[in-house]
Amino acid sequence: MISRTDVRVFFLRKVLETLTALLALMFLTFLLLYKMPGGPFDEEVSLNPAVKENLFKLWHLDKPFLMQFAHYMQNIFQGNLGNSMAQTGKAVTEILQQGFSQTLMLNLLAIALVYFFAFATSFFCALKSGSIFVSGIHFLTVMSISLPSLFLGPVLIYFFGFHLKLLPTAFLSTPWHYILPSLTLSLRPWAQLHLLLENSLKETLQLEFIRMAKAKGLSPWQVLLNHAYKNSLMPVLSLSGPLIVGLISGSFLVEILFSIPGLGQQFVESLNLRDYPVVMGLVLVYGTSLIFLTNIFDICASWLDPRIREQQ
Amino acid sequence: MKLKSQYFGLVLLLVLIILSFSAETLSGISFDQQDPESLLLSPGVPHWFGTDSLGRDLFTRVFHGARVSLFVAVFSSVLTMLLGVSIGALAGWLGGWSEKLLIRVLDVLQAIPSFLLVSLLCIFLQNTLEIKDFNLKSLVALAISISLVHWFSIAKITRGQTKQIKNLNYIEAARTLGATPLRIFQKHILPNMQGTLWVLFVMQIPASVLYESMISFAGYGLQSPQVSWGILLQEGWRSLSQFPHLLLLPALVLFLTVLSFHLVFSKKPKDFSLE
Repeated sequence: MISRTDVRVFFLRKVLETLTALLALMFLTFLLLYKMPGGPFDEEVSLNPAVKENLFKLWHLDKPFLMQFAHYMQNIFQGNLGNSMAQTGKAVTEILQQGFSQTLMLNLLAIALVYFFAFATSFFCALKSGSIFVSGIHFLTVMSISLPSLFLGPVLIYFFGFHLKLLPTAFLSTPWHYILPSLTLSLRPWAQLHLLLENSLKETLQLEFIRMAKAKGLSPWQVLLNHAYKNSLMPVLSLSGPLIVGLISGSFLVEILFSIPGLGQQFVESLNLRDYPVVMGLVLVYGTSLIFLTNIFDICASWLDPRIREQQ
Repeated sequence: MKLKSQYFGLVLLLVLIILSFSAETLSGISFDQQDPESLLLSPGVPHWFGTDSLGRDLFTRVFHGARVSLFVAVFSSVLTMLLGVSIGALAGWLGGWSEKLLIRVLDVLQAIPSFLLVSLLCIFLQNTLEIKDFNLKSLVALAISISLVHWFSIAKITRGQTKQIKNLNYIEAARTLGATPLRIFQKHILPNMQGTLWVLFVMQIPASVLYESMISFAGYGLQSPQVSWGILLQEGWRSLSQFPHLLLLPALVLFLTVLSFHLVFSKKPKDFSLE
């Protein structure tokens, strides 16, 4: 049963699922925003009824719901996400492009930090269990797991920015600007990944083939780097999806804390202003990229471990 | 060492709960009492946590806010459990296509950043719920939107457990005796996974506390005459450079609360990774 074709079938099914999921997500968000009372033209009290009617026509707000949605989807396939209602004259795609690079850079840096340090510290802890550094790292993980970014961010801003005046605390213009936000963003995911990796490494080190490798005369580091870590890759892969989604979910607040004009800050602002086209565009960007990403992890996992394919 | 940290967490938690109910009697000041004579004081003797820009006592406000935050957290955790357990158990019991559909839907929903979903739902509910009292409405809207986004993992775990238990011999025996599915669930399946569910429930509370503070901080959740940790953080954030205590002290209490839950209720470090 388990053959190359199976992976392909699995892959194709995943792609179809992803597309359906995206359509459903767009539909639900559209419905949610449609059902919401209050619109962007409500605040101008003195608005002429004729003007309002024209505005509604311009935004297709006078049409029934399904027509509006169909119209919107049709536009999406032409690469047109509409115009912002609050920032007059700006296309949503333009707004998304402005924030995209900053958000992407910040999140990628944080993800890289999480993986690099989680592997480094967990390898260290697995080998040197009992040393004072290991207890220090354990203490740090327990703290980091419960550390809200709303506490860590301001503390870092206050001490490194205002008190010591060492590091910049807002915007992302030079490499120095990345230090504090990426630290705030990555500490908690690092702790989660570290705990998972350390546990799985320690479990693997008990197994027979590790004793065999040791008996061959390999040093502990060689045992770890050539044999043991491979067994931990599977759990890391299955945690990676939720971990990265969680990290990106945290980046909304980190962007506000560090005044980073990225997509997260844009989302918070647009939702406060009821700027529906921008909110829709942001849901589309975040939803698409993350649903694709988690599916890629799924496909990788199924490729590495065929048992997963059989389960689904 | 594990036991010691558990006791430490327990003491922290108890102190927090006692303070949240007695802060106003301890300080003798109401949480919204303004005092133009003592604006923006640093932490000191009469005002232990200092005062804010309207001269309100921060100590009382932090622990009065604890009540609101913890209420939202417990309320939404109960709701989360109800949703997750009932949907998960139903899917696990029925099996077949409904179970598959649920897993697919949950996989997709879990791929979307929860902050995005909670804030969309929260704004939606605030505008559509029909509750007269505005404060109560924003509170309920926030709690419901938190639980609507957090039941996914609980449903998945409940489904798995239900599936395991339902194939055991004594369930079959109960079915042969004519017990209805609901009775089997109540009498046989639920008691079996009670332990897991309790742990999930308790660990949902700090997650909800964090969500309350994040959403209120962003400006969607509770609104300003009310006091919760999220609102205090939002108020303190504006003056971080000059008056750091307004943000750092509420944030510290928030951190200690979450920490105490983690210290008391997670037995193995492994459990941490499951959020």
